[in-house]
Amino acid sequence: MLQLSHMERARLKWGLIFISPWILGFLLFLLYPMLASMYYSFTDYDVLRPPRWVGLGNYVRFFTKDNLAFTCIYNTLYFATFSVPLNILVAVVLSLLLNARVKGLAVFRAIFFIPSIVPVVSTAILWVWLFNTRNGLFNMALRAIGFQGVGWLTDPAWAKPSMIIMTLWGVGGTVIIYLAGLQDIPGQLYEAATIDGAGAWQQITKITIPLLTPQIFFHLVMGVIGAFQVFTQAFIMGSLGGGALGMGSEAGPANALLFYSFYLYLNAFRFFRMGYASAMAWVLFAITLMCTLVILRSSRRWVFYGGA
Amino acid sequence: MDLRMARNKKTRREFLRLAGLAVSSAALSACGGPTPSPVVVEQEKVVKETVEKQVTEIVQVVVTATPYPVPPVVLPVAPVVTPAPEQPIDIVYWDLYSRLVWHGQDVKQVPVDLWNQANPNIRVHYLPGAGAKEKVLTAVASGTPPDLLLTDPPTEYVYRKAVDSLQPYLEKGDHPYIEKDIYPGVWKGMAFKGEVYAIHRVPNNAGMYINADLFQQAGLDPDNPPRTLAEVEECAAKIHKVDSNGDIEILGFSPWLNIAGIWGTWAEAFGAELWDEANNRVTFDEEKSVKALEWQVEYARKFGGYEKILAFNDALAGMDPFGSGRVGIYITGPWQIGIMQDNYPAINYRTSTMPVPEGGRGGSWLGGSWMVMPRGGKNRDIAWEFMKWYCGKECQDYEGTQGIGFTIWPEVNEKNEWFNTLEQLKPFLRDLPHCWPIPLIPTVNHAFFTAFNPMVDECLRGKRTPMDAMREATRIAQEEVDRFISNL
Repeated sequence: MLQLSHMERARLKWGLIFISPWILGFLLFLLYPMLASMYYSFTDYDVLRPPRWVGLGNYVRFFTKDNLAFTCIYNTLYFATFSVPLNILVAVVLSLLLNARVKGLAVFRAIFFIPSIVPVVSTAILWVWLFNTRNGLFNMALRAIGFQGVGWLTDPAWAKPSMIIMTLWGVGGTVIIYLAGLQDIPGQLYEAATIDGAGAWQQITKITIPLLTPQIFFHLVMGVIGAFQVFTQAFIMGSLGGGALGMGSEAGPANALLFYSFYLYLNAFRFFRMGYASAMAWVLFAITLMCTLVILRSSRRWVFYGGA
Repeated sequence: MDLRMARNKKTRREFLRLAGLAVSSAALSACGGPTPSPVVVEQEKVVKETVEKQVTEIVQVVVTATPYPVPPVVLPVAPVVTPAPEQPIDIVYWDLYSRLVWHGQDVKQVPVDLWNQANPNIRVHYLPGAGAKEKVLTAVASGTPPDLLLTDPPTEYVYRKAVDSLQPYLEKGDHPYIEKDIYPGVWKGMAFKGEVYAIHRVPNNAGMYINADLFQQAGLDPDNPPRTLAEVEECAAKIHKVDSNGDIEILGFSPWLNIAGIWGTWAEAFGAELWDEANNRVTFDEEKSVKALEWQVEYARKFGGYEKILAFNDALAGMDPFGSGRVGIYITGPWQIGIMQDNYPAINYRTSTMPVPEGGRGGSWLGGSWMVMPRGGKNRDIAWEFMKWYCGKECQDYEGTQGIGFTIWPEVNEKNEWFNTLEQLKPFLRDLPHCWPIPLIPTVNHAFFTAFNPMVDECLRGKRTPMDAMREATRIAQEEVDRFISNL
């Protein structure tokens, strides 16, 4: 056992006292609910009656019998696969533009940042209007240039792409991170590259992007985790988009916006299947963890830290 | 269905609307109605000012619109509980829905205030919007539920024993909740396997709204509305208009707009039961249900396809479909009368009973709210005293009159002059005896959300035949019912 001096013990005691609010919060509001949900995932539990042990029943049922399990996993993976890379691409391009030394730069930066502080519900409602089949801005623009216009939120094929396009609205928040990363790149690297005759494109691909990889890596990990938990925008857009039949319309046309978290929520609070929802939550955790580990492992090959 | 409308600013249109209201209310009060409320007095003042300036336009509004006059206010009389408790008792009452304020009457709060005045030691606390399912679940599980809860159909709560039976109280007598006196459909939704668990308050049902101007433009007589689904189709075909892109400009009728398609409306209208309570079997695939879906498929085909009809709804972007003036025939509840009055007073419309399919039964499912006693509540006897009165004839009569709904007793509704003189309300009242509860499936939300609705949707998108869709819906829903029943 570690031998501590009197002074060290006193420091440890006070240290623990000072961080005790966090420790208590962690134990009561994070660790306990997590362990409880792990237990409930092996039970049939509706909150109102005592849980009944079913072993792996909920997990087996989810993967073999639930007609909507595949739909919600597919929708979520589709969303994550396209929205995260697209967001990274747009955020990097925007940050490069906003890093240029032009007049009124602060104004441009503010313009791109402001949308990211609009509450997600307001954003979703706004975009329902933009996506409106007849009077929406997008379809009006498409018609103006001779296209037919699409059923952004009413056509099952377009509902998810619409959601993905909408996520770009909040890209300003990550642009700030990329801007910080860009300003951290030493200027002499560009000077040396210029002297060596490197063009703008070469400078971007050989200096800027490699040295931005720590920020890209962060964005990728957080983006994937966020994408697997997408809920609010889909919930609002699904129910207001008018693309589905009566009750349950929150899931969009032909369940095209039935994302994992939303289906989990439905199971917990609309269908009273708390045990099943807990199992779904752990499956989601496993999927997210796996993806994050793959990204972490791969990061050794493509993330470059300036100081390294 | 929140009918509250803020009226801080009065536009010219608002003035005219109020004028129409006040003219009608003044006429009513002249016929010997009760003393006008402060709202009526205010509106009479408004009309005097407006009449002088806008006479011709007022006439136009009164002629073209069908205003809903201010109803007479007959407040319920709260009983005094004797002996009164020595120490003050607090009764907590959660409502899933928000406040309902119309014509200046906070209809769910007013009786609570009257009760509290009469019984200062039994204080009822009304909490609108507090009764969300998430909250009720945790409150009941933790043993801290409200004493009373006003909620949507209580089927799932009852089967999960989250609410207590009211039977012991009913057996003591001295209450108006007697099967033979109540609409059969209403009773069915309150009593589960012979035991009453909930009292239905201010029920409502769906009816048909007809845009009179669109009818006239199509050469149809709005005073002779369609009665059968076949007639609805005929009228819709004459009203329906598409633009050069094939998009719907004017919608004749949609079986899926607003509440029209939910909870298996059409299957039930065709005569399907959807649930066999005696054998705990889901029967989504019964012949009449399949027939209803076949009719929907055919209807979609005739009117440009399911997606086009849904796209019309999307194009309205949250605007009230009937209020847009672009829908000829529309299915919804009586609350639409309030929406039209408050927001679209210039639209000339009529109401009628639900269309009846050939060989079907007509009518609709019953809406409204249900009062229950969550399991584990304290002060149950006192809570029952309040509930007995609050759900009773006087209170329902007051709330129905003020908030556009009815009571659960045919006898009370027949005596209510207000219900029987208003043309807009009459069809709904006439249809009430034919209405039915939302299927009493123990896992009803799961059955409709994951089975029935998605399968209807798939069928209408051409991915399944009606028979295949309903068989699959039955299979999915039955599996969940079996799982649930096996755990009882």
